[in-house]
Amino acid sequence: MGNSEVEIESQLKFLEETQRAILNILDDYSIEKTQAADTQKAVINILEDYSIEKANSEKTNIALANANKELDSFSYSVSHDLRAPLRAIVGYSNILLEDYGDKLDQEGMRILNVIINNVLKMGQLIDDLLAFSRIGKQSLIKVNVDMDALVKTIDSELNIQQEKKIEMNIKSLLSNKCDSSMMKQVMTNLISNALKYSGKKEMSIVEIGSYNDANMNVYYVKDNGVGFDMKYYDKLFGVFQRLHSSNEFEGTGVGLALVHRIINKHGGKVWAEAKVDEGATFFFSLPNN
Amino acid sequence: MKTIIHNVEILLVEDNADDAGLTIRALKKHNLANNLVHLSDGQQAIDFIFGQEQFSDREIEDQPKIIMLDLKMPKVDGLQVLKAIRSDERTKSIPVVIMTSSKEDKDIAECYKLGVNSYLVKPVAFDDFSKIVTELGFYWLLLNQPPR
Repeated sequence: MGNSEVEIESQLKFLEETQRAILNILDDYSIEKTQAADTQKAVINILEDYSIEKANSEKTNIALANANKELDSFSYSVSHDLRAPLRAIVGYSNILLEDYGDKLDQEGMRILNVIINNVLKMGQLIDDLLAFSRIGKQSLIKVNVDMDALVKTIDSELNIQQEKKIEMNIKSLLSNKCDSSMMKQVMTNLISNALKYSGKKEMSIVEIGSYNDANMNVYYVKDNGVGFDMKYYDKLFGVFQRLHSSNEFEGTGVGLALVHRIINKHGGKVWAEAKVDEGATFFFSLPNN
Repeated sequence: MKTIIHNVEILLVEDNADDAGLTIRALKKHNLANNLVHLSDGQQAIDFIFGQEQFSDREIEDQPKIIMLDLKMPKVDGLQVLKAIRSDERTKSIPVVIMTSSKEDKDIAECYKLGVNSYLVKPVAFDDFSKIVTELGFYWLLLNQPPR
């Protein structure tokens, strides 16, 4: 073979290799193109799924808003319309007692009082239910609450230290950022519970205090009352759940459920410790900021 | 109780006859119901205050010392009555106390915005109810200085 033949052969080889390389590049390119097209299809699918989900959640939002509106007008109706006939029953039963009491024998009076007491109970139940349902739709208005002052107000409103033998041991309380009217409901419920369930003791001893635990402030209300059996702990914060009969202690069973709901809304926790006949301590925590 | 239309001290506007009965009884007990008129809807209340329709014998200047106004009434409700009273120069100073079953914040806010003097929620318990009505009567009839 001459030089030119070797050159031609090597050029041919070079051309073939170049051709093969180009073909490979074209192959790779068409694979990339197919992959890109697949990726594009996948992205379009995801976008479609997303817009379906978005439409669904918008539908759900509208349904929820409507349900809330219905609940609002239901609560309003309960608040207004149910109370009026209750008031009439209580009022006119009392008038009967006042004006015709002397014509009734003892049994008659007793029966009338049963009627009146039950209607009053119903009124309290309605109020408690309403308060409970209102917490759901209320938004928190957080301000710096002076817990000492709050408890002092409750102390005077509940007229503690009045007749019965009550010892209130109120320690200095940490202040906290929270909704003040909701917090008042919480403290009022816990304190009146403490007084109620220690009411049968010679002396009601209630202690209220607070301490700091990492990023939470913990408050507690402790009483020396009848306590409860920890094996029923799960029922403690349920709505209408009670651990004592209404003969032993009056109440509607909404108080602690209300406390639980409010504290949860604040991002805190509620818990309790007790022993039968040895009192109970109720704790709640609030994030401190 | 529409026998008197002049020199009325208390105008009670309440559509619920039973509630009205309880209110009037409580006031009577303390001799506060001597010059009380009870009307059972908002339109009659407006006619009474402005001396129109069946009350055209009344003078606008002859104003009650206090209007006890229920909110929820058919046709013309308490808010509308309040608006009507407060939007006329001649009547806007008449003391108005809302007495209602509603404890709803929006009702309370709306009434105060319209210039109500006081907002009371009717309690279910009779003793509390009587006490509130009696205190109301004493305060607005005997303690408070009326505008004229």
